[in-house]
Amino acid sequence: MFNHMDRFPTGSPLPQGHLTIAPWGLRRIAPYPPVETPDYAKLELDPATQTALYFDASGAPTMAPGHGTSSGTNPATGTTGQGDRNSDSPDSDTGNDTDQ
Amino acid sequence: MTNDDRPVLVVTNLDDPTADFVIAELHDRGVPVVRFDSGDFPATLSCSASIGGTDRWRGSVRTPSRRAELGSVRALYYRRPSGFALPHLDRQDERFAVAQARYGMGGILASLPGCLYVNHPNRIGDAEYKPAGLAAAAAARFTLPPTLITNVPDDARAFIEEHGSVVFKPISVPLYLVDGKAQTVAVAEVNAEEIDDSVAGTMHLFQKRVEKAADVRVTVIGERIFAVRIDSGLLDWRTDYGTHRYTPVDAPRAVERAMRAYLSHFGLVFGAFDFALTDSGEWVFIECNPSGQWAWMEPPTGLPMTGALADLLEGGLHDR
Repeated sequence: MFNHMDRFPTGSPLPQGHLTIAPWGLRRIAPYPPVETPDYAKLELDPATQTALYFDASGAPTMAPGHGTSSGTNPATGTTGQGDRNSDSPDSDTGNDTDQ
Repeated sequence: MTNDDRPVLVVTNLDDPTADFVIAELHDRGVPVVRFDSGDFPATLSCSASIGGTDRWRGSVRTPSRRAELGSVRALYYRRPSGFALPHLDRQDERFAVAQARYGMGGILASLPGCLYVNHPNRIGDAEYKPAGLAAAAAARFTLPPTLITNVPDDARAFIEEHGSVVFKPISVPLYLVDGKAQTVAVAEVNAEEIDDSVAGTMHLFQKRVEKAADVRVTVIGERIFAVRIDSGLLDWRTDYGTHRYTPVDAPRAVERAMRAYLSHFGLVFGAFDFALTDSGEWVFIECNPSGQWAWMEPPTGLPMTGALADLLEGGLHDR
């Protein structure tokens, strides 16, 4: 909900037309290390305990996908509503889950 | 403590097993919990608060199953909420709606009276800045690896030549999709020949590689400190959990003092510190994550971290 970009408040971008080079760091962009994909199809909140209930594709209760580990992981599908937005869209710096 | 009916708010997305452990513990203790995800707003989450003529917010947040009065929130556990999303709206309309939500609901939740924040989201925002973290770490007298943040190619080249073994790290990892799949930036060595003019294209972080014997992850939860040595043989232990061995250790007093100073600088009550442990036994500060994961270390070490977090949230500000 909070956008860390706000910690360096700026106005709207005002491009000056300078053609600067694409950053070196882009060549280090790589896929996340493979992780076991969670084995559940559906999630619901248990109103009594406020914990999540996990269900498999057949609708049967299943285990939670383990203790959250610490690697950067791919963002959970559909939770951030991102996809094809450009860099000035409101949430574009918060899509990845890199809480080392 | 069960006659205290003030709720603990847990702000996170639905798929958060770590939050589930803490919530289950609070539930067992009879502490009321109201859990929600900002991404549920406004579809299934609503919020209303007034001020003026009162000394604090009057109002509530309402979920399909709970309601929390904003003037009497005991603690707020800020985990991993998803962003606001209204993709069915026109782009500009969405931007407007999201900005009102972020500054409106986000602003209310960031200014609750008498509430213990674990951690305060704005403090998390401050501490997410790696350069601010490095500056605070230096001031707290941690040992730091020499680090250069630059967009000057010659400076990058000279730094690498001076230090020999140097790694490149991202300063931040924004969403970056390739074929619809989110990407990251691998932490890996870089040599001087790889540096070219494109370093001028934006800021880049280079850090001397620490010759380490092992890693240490220290999770600070309120007054409690849980230090775990991780033996993995990897440059970045997060890339493969299968190789890890975990051993609880004690943090040296000087490191403990520095961690306290660091957390106090940022106003954090929780922090996950990463250190490289050298052959000579020195603890070298790598980073502190204000929202780091910890629950996966509890089963192999037996350290009572879930209980410590529940204690912190249950106690609220009164215990502090």
